[in-house]
Amino acid sequence: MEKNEVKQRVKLGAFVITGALLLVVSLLFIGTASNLFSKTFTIAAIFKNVEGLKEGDKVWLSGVQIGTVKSVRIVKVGEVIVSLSLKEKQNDFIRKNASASIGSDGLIGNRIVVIQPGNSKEVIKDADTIKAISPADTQEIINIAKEVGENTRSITLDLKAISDKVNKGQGIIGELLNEGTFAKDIRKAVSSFKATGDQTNKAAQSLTNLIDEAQHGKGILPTLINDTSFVSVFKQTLIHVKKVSANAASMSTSIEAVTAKINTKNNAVGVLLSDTVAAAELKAIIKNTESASVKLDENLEAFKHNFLTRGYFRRKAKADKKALQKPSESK
Amino acid sequence: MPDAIQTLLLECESIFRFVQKLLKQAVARPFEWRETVRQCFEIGNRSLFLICFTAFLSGVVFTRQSRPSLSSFGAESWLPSLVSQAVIRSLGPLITGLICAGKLGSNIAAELASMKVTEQIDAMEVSGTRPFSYLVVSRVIATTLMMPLLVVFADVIALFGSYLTVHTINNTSLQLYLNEVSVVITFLDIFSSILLATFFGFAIGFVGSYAGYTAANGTSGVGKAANNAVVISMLFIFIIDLLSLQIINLFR
Repeated sequence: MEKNEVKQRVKLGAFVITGALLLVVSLLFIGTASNLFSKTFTIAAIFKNVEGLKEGDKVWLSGVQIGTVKSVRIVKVGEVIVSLSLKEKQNDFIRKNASASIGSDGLIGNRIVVIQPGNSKEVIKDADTIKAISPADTQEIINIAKEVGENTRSITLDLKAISDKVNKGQGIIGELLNEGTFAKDIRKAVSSFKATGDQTNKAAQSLTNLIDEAQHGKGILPTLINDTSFVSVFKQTLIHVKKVSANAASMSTSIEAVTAKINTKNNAVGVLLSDTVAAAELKAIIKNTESASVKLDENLEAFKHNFLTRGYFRRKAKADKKALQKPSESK
Repeated sequence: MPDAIQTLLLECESIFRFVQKLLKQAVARPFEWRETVRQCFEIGNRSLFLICFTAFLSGVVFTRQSRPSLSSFGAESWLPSLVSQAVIRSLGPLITGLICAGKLGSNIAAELASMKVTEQIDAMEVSGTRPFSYLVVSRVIATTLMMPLLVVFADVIALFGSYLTVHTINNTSLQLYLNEVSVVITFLDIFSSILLATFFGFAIGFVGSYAGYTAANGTSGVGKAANNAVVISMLFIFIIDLLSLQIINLFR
């Protein structure tokens, strides 16, 4: 009986110790998973919105879990302090200018904190605060969408008003679409424009023809344009013209000399032009000559009518008449 | 009808007195060490195999049953975390509690009832051996202490069964399985599970003792006491489970 009881006690002791050991081992396992037994350091990040992050969520650096979220506290509206408890060994990889953002892990989306290590030279220390990149707020996106929707609504309203006006034939476009006066005017203008265009076309055609003619036909222009030999002729002509003008110049100098001589009274013409006494005499002589010629004229008239000479004058008149008629007949 | 109410009130009074007596005797000296250790052995060691076997089977079954619904949306890798949460938070204590309620509750109630019916308890009282402390307190303390240990075993064995199932299906390594489990399980889960088991143990021991200690009417009273003990302790287990869930969720 005594032996049996000892056996029982031993068995019970084994049972209790095994149970306690199992409990301790499982607690250790869980503790390691949530960093309870490894040395940690704490950093903080201030987020605007943590999207359901909670204590114990994972902290990732390059996809490796390096710690857990220690606490999530709202300090004021739009400011949430998230304390991250990270394994001591990992702080070499996180720099002073590191940043934290909120991501999600897996299909259903456990929230995680993702740390971008940064590139400054200083390594992060305990109780440092790092920059936080807050996730795009869903509410903000909705607000923007709402605004866009409102704008679209007012735009469509405006469009509606415009199309109403257009349908009623108001405004230029309305008239255009609804065959108003303006449309008719434009139609007319277009048809006039078309006619003008036709004419312009014709004119252009004629011009083309003309140019063609000028290029390939006969006449003075084509010769001018196409005949290269004519150029030399023209050149020669120009040389002649030049010579003529040179001659003209020398002639005018001669004339100048002559007139200069005339102006001096030493010669006959000069006397005639300049000496007034001589000129008066000359005038008297001319007058005399005139009266003498008048008298001679009368004498000659009388002579014509004289019967001895009358026949001669008649024959002469006839011969003159014939000479005048002959050239007109030959044409 | 007033008769029924009177019976109920009398029963309540009786229970209250029993609890009072139990608490008084539990701290009273001398403490029945030998009998308590013997009861611990009876309750703990003798139930271990049954508990481990059922826990292993339920771990396997639960894993296989929850696999299709998880794999239907490609989350089969969550199987360890799902099973471990279910087992540690609720399934382990519940299975242990129900089996112990059936095995220990009926055992205690029948033993005490037959002693009561055959007036052995009265004889003990006359001989001055303090039957209440010797019979009831030792048993209630034994169930209260042994249940948490049994739950630890049940949890571990159920998770082991679950691991074997996951391993045969997905070829998951033990390391990965343990990592997945330890990520989702918190200290709160384990401590609440153990606290729950303590309450279960107390309920089983108390209900069994009370049913046995208040048994009457000869041999038929023994059967009635055993029956009552099992049914009522099982009910208590579910009620305690629900209440503790509410309380633990305040801390979670």
